[in-house]
Amino acid sequence: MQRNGEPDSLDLLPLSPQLFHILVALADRDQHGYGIMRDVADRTGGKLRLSAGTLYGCMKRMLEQGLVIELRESERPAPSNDDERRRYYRLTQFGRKVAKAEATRLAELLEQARIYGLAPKRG
Amino acid sequence: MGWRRNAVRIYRTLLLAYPAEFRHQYGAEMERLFDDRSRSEPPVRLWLESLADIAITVPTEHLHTLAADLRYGGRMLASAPSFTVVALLVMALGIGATTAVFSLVNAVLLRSFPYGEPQGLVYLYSPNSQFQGTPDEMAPNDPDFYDWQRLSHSFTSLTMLKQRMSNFVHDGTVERVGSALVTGSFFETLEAKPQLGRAIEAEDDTPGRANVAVISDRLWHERFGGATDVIGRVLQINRKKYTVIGVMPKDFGYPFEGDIPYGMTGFKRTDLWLPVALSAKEKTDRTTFASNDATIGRLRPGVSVAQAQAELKSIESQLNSLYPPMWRGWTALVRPLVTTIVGPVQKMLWLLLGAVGCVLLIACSNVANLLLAKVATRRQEIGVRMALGAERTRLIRQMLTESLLLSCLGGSLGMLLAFAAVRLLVRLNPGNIPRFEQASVDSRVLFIAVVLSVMAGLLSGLAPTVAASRVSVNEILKQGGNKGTAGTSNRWRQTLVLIEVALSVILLGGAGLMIRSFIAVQAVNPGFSPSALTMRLSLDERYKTPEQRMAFFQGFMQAAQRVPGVLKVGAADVIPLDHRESVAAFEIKGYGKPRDMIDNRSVTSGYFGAIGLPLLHGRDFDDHDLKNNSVAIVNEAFAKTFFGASNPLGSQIRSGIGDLTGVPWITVIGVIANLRQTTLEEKPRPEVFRPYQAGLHGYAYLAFRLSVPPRVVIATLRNVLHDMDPALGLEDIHTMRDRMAEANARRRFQTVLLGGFAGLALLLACVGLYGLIAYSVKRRTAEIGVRMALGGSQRQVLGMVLREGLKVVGLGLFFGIVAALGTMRLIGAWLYEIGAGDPITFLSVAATLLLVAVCACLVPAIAATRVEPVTALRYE
Repeated sequence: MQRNGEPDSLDLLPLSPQLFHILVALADRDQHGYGIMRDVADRTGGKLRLSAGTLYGCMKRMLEQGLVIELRESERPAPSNDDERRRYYRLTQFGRKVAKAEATRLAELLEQARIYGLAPKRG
Repeated sequence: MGWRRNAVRIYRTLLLAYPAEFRHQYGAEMERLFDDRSRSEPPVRLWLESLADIAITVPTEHLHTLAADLRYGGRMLASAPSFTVVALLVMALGIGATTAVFSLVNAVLLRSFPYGEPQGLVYLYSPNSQFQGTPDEMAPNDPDFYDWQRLSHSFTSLTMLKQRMSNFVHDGTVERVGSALVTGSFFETLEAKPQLGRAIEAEDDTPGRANVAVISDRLWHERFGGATDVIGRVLQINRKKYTVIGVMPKDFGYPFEGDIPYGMTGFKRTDLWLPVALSAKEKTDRTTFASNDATIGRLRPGVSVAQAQAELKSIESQLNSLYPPMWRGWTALVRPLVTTIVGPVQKMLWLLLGAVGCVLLIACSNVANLLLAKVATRRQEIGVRMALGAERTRLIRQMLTESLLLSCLGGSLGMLLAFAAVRLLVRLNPGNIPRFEQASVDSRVLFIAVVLSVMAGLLSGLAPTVAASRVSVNEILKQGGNKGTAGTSNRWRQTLVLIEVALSVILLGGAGLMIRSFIAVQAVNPGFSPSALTMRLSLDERYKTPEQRMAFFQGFMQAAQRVPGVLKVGAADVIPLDHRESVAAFEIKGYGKPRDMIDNRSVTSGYFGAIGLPLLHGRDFDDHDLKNNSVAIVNEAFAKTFFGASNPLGSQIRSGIGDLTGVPWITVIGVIANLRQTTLEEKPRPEVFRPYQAGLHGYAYLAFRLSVPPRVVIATLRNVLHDMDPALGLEDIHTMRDRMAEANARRRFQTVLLGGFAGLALLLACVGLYGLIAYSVKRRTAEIGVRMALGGSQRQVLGMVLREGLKVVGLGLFFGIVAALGTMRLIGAWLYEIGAGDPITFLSVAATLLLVAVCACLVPAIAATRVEPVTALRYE
């Protein structure tokens, strides 16, 4: 399903938990691989630890699908914050759309679980 | 800190397991990430997680790359449908044909015999050097067998069998079935277990208790509908009652035709096993020379064939003293059973596999050629991909994936083809190859087909891959998008076509030699009349005395003579092309005793007329001769060898086994024309024909000269026999033409197959040649256009293109003929009246190949002459 040369975000759903976490980790700032790994580990209380193979396998696929891009020299963080040896990644518009679609999907799922008393009530 | 450095080093080594492209892209990052984590995380947890991560993600990454390559390869194939169809067909033909021939090799040579540990089984023979001209593979006399069984220690078990055709009566119809009379140790020795009931055991093999039978799976299904209560049913076999005690599994039909050297011909497999149950007298009587048809032993573990033979020889040397002095000289010979059975066809089958392997090689080189042409047209694309950062290893992988995709798709088509081809091959069955009809596509054949597909893919992908990996980005960019010429790849392509032509020459040469031999054998004058009808009639044990038997045969022959359409009837102990030897020592009065043995045949009066052998001098036997047995007729070869120009009529000869002193002299009364007695190929040997009284033995071969088609007479003859004795049947009913076809069947099979492969090779080589020249013309369109614009004639262009093609063909022809002359001695044994370097054959091969090659080049060459200079320049 091509639309304006861009694949439909719904085609990629559901995302694997690892992929979704990476998208979330990139949602508010550009990061390098190690940063993403630490971010995910922090946010999940250490429950999800992305190992190198999994992380870069995901990054490769996300680059191919256009969910993220690799930053060019000119776009990298200020030299004081930059680690020259690392590659930095940024979420694309399309990546953001996919992440939103996945979040909506999860929210709907959670809502249904609530109706059946499988999840705590709101508030 | 040292341990951390080492840990990183180990991790870096482990990263080598990832696809190169992935590693080059992310390896350094992954290493860095590992290093970062190693600063803050406990080493054990880090390693456990990292190892698990590598174990999971390495295969995943490889699969992703493969999937991408396959998608890309699939798109490439789909974008060039004509290329894809040709390449797939070529691969399918090569792999399919090879798989089909392999299924034959598998059925006959590789698939295990339907009995336990066949490698431990041996045939035991008892040759006697006194009987020159007889084969060494003679089974021992019965008493010797029982003494071997009693005295030898080399075997865990010994058994013997006698082959018989039995009259099997079921539901009122008589069926002649191949049967074996076996000792109680037969099934134990072969380690063959019935699928139902029990096998024949020692206690069954005693006179009076031998009324039990084991039947084949075929009989069980065809005659009893596979009913499980078949055990205990009573069968009528040769007018005796037998109780079924067991049913053998589907594959078991030992002995099959061809399993026993000089075994009984006329039936393909054994369907019935009965106890031989010899009496105590028969087991010890050394005066009747009753021998069995095959003696089989199972070697004790650790005992070699040579050791077993040495032991049997020493036992036999003692047993010789039990024979009358003139009959001694028996010894022992032990041969492995498996090589004896498959030996005669082994070479032929491997040769056919080799030939079809050549076809596969040609197919691979053809596909390689097509792929090379594609690489040449894709150089730009490859160059651009490399300029954009594609790794060379990735490109190599991509090219190999493409050729593997082609070969595997072609291989799948080929397997379908093989299923059909195996059915066709089984129909071509020459009849005398054991287990041939059991050829099928089983798991081993499928496995080989898969291996062949992968190998074909790698082989055909090799040259294109090397060519693709040599593409230089700079060069491409310098050419600024011009369609470049690929000099190296063109040399590759020429070399490949050269190899194809050379391989085709070898196959064509082999096929040509076989075809010429086949034609020569077909043209042999066999001496007898091909239209003569022959059959075998056997009596059972109710006809006890020779007088009874002779009276029956006499009666039947007289009745047959009265059947409308029968012109002449005769009988003989052996008919031509039956492979049976019947030799004897002989002496000519006044000439001395030659060292050689002569073929000794016995025939009734009228036999020569019936089988169509012309009497050259003298007269035929008459009734008086049959009674007196004091005359003989010799063949032309005999007369020429021993009498030269003088007349043999009236001379005296005598023949027999051993010492001839005291044997009465008999007079030569006639000379008949030569005939091919054992095979069509073998030159006629001196033969002596003695008067024969049909019925002397329990059977005789009958020959008929007819004035009507055989089928008309056969039905009447069956009725005649039925009226005389409804329990008897006619067997082995064939015209001599059928027997000639059967004698020639293996040769025909080899020739047809080899011819087919050679034709296929020629076709594929021409496709290759056509592809090469067509591509070359396309590549040189501009050059041709310029030449023509500058005044070059169409003739010159035609000549230029043809020269290019014929240069490759000429070189291929040269190398092919040199290689063929070296390899043709492999088939030397199958050639008849021509040498392996037969000039007529090779000249014909060269002429055929050149003619076909010119045609293959002519099509693109003519296209080249039609090039319009303007179009050519625009093309540029």
